[in-house]
Amino acid sequence: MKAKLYVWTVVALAVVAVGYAVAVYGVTDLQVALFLGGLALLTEWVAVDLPIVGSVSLTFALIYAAVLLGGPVDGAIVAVIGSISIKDILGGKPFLRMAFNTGQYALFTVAAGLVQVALGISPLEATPALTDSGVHWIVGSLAIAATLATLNMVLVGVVISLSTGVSLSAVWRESSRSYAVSLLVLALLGLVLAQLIHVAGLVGTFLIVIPFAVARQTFQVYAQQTEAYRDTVRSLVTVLEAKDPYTRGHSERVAWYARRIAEGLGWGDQEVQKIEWAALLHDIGKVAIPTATLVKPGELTAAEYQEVQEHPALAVEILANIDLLSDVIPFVGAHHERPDSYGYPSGMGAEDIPLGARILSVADCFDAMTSNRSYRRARTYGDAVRELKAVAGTQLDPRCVDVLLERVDDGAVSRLLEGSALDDV
Amino acid sequence: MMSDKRQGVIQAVILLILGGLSTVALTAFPSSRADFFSLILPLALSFAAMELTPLPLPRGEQFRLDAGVAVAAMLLLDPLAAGLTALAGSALGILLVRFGSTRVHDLVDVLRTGLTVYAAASIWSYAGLSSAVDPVYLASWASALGLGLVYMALDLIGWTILETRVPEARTPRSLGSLLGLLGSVYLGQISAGVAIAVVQESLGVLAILALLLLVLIMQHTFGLLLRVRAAYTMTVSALSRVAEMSQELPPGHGERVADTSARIGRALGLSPTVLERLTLAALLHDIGGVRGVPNDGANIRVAERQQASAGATLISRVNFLSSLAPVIARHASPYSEFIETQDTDGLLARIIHVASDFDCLTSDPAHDSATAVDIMKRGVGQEYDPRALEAIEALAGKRDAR
Repeated sequence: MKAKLYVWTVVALAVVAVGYAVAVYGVTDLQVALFLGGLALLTEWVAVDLPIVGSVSLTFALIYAAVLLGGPVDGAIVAVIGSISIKDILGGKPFLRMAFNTGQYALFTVAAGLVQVALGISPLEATPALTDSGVHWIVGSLAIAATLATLNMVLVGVVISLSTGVSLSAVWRESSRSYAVSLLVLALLGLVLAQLIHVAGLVGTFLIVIPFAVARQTFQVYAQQTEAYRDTVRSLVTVLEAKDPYTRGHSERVAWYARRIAEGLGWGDQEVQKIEWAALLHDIGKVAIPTATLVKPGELTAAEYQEVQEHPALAVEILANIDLLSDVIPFVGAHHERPDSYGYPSGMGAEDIPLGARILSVADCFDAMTSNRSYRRARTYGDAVRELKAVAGTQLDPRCVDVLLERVDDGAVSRLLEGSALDDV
Repeated sequence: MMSDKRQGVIQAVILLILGGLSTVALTAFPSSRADFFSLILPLALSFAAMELTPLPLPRGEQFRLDAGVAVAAMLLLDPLAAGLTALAGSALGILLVRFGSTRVHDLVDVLRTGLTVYAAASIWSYAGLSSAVDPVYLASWASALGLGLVYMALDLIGWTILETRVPEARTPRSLGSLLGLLGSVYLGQISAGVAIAVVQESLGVLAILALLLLVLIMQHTFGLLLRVRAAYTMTVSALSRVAEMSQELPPGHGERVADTSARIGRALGLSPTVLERLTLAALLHDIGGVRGVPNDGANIRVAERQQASAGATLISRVNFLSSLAPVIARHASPYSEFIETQDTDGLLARIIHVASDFDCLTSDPAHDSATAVDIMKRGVGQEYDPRALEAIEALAGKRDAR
């Protein structure tokens, strides 16, 4: 209820603020404002998250440029047009939410515009650039950018806090760092854009739009190719595993468990992806071991056992040149090390084993216990839990074991073994 | 080892002297439009930053893309000052990247950067076109972009020539494939360079900072893309090494066959896309199993063909690689079986057949390339594709001459 009241207040304030600005200051250059607004609409429509710039959209830079060039009303025109998202309208987003978004954009833009008017900041004429008046100018334009950013954070932060119950400071802590960097980059771009339009007219915008379009296009292709690469590695692993009927689907299941553990330990999205890669590839070294040894029903001879023990090192050798996987290789290489230092290949102690490798090790053991193997049948979930607890601290990392048992129950294991829970890996 | 290190130090010293001399030249003879601290120094540092963030190309080469900074420098400075700034900046960058382990190649590349900037700017001013951008006139914008294109042409040609001179050079990259790979990013950088040149007069150092940011964003996204592409090829190479480990193949067989196949393919005029397929298929040709040195015995051939179809079955189940299955399936089939077919996949399979047998023969110390080709010539038209064999003969001749 509070949230709704707040949203309506922001919308009402925005209407008043825009009305006031129009009445007092009027439009400076309608053509430029409409052009920048159109550009904002377009970028919003084709938006993708870029690295560095992040999820904060280019609209911010365009609004900033409009404020610098033409003050509160010109800025508000760009803000209102730019905050209308065609995607949201087509996607049937609730009206109130869209109204709030447009309202908060208009509100922080008008506020920044008032700062611009009060400090008398407009694009620089020419040389000499950074003299006495230059310092005033830089501080002033920074103040405008800061007004935009701070108000935006406050207005959005409060609505998130009210509707989710999370405290305001927690909401800000979550997002502030990446947000600050993006805003700094975008502010600098807005500055250049305003200057370009001022010096060279609207044609100048294309010089900035082209590099952005290129970056965007590149990033989209990158996203597609990463997906394709992942698919390829996945199906490759599956095909190679088919060599040993007992380990079919093993790597995919280990990836599923490892992901659960990593998430439970509070790892970020990128880190979780790394652990998934490591899990998918952890047994790739077995490809070079004769199938007869892998599927042998009884005890292995000493020589055969040694051969099997070489597989983590072989995996490291196989993956060594793949730059993209360089963070993942240490996990793969150490997934048979043990905290009590009786593992292989190097027998390192608990502190030296990367956490990623310890996660893998737990996931790997758990799947080995709960699925059929050439040398024995699967244990029940209850037996597997008891055994995991028994070896926690010696063979396996106790914290990872706890997290796994917290997050994976009997039902999940049997669904996974039937192959139906894999979709959300 | 010792002499390597000493050579590195000597080269580092040469770089220092080069960078120092250009800096002295720049400060001693300031050009009319350039200010050292607000323009030349930031630009030189930007050049250095570009050396620190080279693009990793798919075949392991590195490309330093500095077009944005170069265009801005050429538009804002006179040709000589721009060239010297580029020289000093890149020298500094290279020193930072690999102090003590610089190679002759780096030295030449630094010189090339300075020269390219100087040459492009000179050509432009010689043609009577003003290098300064007048914001009001479209014609001057067009000429600024044109200057960027001239720089691009000189830079790409220079890089390609230099890259073929590297001793450990792989298959040289053609100008066309380089352009296809880098074209869009290059244009983005040129455009950013012109934009910054326009606003530099009023924004000063801030403009150069913005340029650096824009260029780094592009560089970063493109680097990500290239990393994934490289991972793709490297994964397939890794797989070919796995195949070698589990069979009795000369180590590195798959990668050498891929290299030779690509050379043959290029000699036969295949397009870059087809060449990429050829390389991947060649890397994976032995994925199915055991493979021996070709001799007169018929059994090995039969075994080879079984392995080829086993490999094809395996690959046909892997997403995004499955289209290579028909090539892998037939890579061990003799030329005589292809007489009726005209498809590209068949041609690729025949090229791999020739390249693979050539590598098996030359891996035996008893055979040099010429003898290997002579042995294979006995099977021309029957076992081996005559055009592919002709191409490999030309390549072998070149290799022996070296």
